[in-house]
Amino acid sequence: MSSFVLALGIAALGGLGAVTRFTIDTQIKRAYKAAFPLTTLLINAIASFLAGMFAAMAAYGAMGADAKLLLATGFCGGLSTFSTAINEITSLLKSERLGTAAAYMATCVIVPLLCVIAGYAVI
Amino acid sequence: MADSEALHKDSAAYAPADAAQPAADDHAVPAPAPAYNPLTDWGVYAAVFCGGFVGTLLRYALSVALPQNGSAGGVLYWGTFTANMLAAFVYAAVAAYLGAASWMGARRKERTNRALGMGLCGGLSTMSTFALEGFTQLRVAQDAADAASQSVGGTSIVVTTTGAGPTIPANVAFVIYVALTYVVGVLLAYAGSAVGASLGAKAAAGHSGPDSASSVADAPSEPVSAGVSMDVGNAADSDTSESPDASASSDASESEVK
Repeated sequence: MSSFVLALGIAALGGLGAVTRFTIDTQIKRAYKAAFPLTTLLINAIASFLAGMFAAMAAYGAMGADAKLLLATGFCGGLSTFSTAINEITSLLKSERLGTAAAYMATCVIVPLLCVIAGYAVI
Repeated sequence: MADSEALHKDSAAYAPADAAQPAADDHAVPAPAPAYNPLTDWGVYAAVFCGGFVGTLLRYALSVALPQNGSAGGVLYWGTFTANMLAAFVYAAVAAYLGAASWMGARRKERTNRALGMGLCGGLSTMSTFALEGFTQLRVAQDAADAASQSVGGTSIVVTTTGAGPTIPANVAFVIYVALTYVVGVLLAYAGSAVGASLGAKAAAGHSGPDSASSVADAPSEPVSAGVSMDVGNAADSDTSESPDASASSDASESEVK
């Protein structure tokens, strides 16, 4: 796969990941008004778990480098989001909910990491 | 805060018809407008896809162009770090700008917010790659610790072979990478929302004259409405348009919705 086509593929899968995130996020928030900010955490957890799996598959030779880029950098990268999480933390800080902000930040650090480890271990 | 609250006051008219709402809120909901369900608005899907496409492309380009050796003697994965920091800033700026954009219709604002915020910034930023990189740093550190403990007279300083002598051990790099990412990210989010709010206020003044600018400037002094947790959530994300709490706020800005 030429690097140009690969880049387009990564970008397209990233777009798909973003649409998936939008769909899940909006659907959950429409059903559960108090879902802030756990939808982002849930989506990031899923994306991190998948990324861990893809990384393991690539490490064990079950997946080529191109495929790994497409799936991990492309889809999982688009599915997950750091900017939304940071802005949720900032919003909590601005409304002086410092305890919630700290707790949320801690879970944002820990949960995706645990999910990556779990995804990696499953393969 | 008021930036995104203003955004949601505009969106109050677009409460979904099928959402379960407690009876107590009914009196505060304005006269029924067509229920806006973003999940059936194909334009929003297209907008989010395009934003995600561009954002992911940019992130990939950054990861190729900038050093990504956070576990091999470098400290940061500069490509991922730059992309995440940029997205944190832009997301906050866009949300603040749109919050002050009183000349825009609610639907256009919603679409722009999702395209740029969820789409572009969501694609540009990544939590999964960041977590994967942290995991790699921890594994490299663990392997180095195992190797050091097995060698005769193992030292506690890990020397990585980049040819220039002792470099930063991967476990230290992990802590620095994670700490910097979050601290700088939050700082940039504060900066972004300040920049966005001021640009938005100026643009609003340009569109509608001095009266608009002063009412936008007054917005920050409005108290956060009763449903604090809901507004905080919506203020951060600006993604949901159906919060019933927005309708309970003062309607000073709603009268400006075109």
